[in-house]
Amino acid sequence: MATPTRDNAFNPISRQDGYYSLLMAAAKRGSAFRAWPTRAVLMKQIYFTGVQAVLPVALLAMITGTLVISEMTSVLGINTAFTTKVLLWIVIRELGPLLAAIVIIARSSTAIIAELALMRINGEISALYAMGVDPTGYLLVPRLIGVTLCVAILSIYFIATATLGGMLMSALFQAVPVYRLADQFLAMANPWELGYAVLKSTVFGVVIATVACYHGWNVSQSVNAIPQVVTQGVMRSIFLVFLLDALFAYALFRL
Amino acid sequence: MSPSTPTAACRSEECLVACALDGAAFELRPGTTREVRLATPEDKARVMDTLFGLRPVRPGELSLFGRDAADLAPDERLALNRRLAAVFAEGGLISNLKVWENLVLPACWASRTGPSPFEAEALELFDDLGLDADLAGRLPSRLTCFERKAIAFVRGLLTHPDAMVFDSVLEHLSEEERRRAARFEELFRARCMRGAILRIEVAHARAGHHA
Repeated sequence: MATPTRDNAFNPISRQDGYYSLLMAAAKRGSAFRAWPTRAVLMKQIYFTGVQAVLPVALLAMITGTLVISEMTSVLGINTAFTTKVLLWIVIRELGPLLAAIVIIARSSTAIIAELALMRINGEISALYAMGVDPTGYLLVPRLIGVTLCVAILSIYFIATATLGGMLMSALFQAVPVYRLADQFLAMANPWELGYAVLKSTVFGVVIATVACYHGWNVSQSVNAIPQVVTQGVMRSIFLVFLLDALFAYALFRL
Repeated sequence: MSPSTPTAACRSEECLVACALDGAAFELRPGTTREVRLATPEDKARVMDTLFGLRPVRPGELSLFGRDAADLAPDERLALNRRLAAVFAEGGLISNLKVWENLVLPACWASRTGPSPFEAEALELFDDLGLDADLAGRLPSRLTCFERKAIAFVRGLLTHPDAMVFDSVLEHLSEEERRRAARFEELFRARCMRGAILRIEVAHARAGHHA
């Protein structure tokens, strides 16, 4: 048997292997959910990433929905058909998944990177291994699942709040009949559009969680490195999310 | 440090741990207590890292429960770590978990059960060590050094290990706390009669604290 290096002695995710190896290492440890501590971490992750983000996402969605409808109305007048179509395109296809992802990157990615990095530097990840607790299964698996679920659910929540809120705000301030907007929306809304948004958000969620876990996990042994890995992780997440968004848009256009 | 010849001896289950590092060669058998005194903190860290799989080992350097550690796959190594427990010098608690969550983490992980089966035993150990039950709701950062070590000891004992490793357990403790910490071994013996105890100390640090 080859002599193990420090990385493969207790860390299956080496810095060189990148995001893919982290994702694969976590995928192989699905059985970690049989342990109560992993389920407890998942619940906490869903609470911090999903439940605590409900209000900021709702506010952002209301403002976005209002802006889209008010801009459309100011340019085109009260053209409910076109306004609804634009709302559908922009909010469901683009802004819902994208802005939900950005909120999660700002709130939870930073927290995950800093938390894992601090645990690594304080020797807590080594302590877990020494206790016989698999750090990958206990720390990474619930964070990957929790963040992915939350991005998908918050995107749907964003879409619902933006469309409903946008319609209501426009009805209040611009005398656009809300029932006409709602009728148009329901007539044009297609379950495939929502499915596309959920698929896109799920992919964003996997990417955000993987990048956050990877950068927090692979910090060097110095507290000074924490702000650096947080910045790297956030910038990398934003870049990848926008890149994937463009790829999804291109794929949709080609279809 | 004086060099020693690496050995792959001690391949039976009767020998729990056999270590053949330079300057730290020892065996640990059921029901025994061993003290290993090392010259420097770096030597101590090397031995601890070797024992718990945190650094690579060469064939013959470490035998765990009859297996050469160099031959173990990562999952096998992790499983054998569950048969050892440690009270690290700083406790080794997880900072973002409350004391109660820290206490039951390895036991719940190993047994795949929830925390409730361990509640009674943990409270009994708290009583034995004179710890306040209110500690269970605190974060480790709000504990004293002795409390962190005591919590780490209770955490280890809840897993009913084959061997307990005490890493400089008396360091940074007051006289009164040292007397209380001296009960750790007695309590371990009472609950794990065939268990082995390994004390790892830095020679100069120990001398300083006992002066």
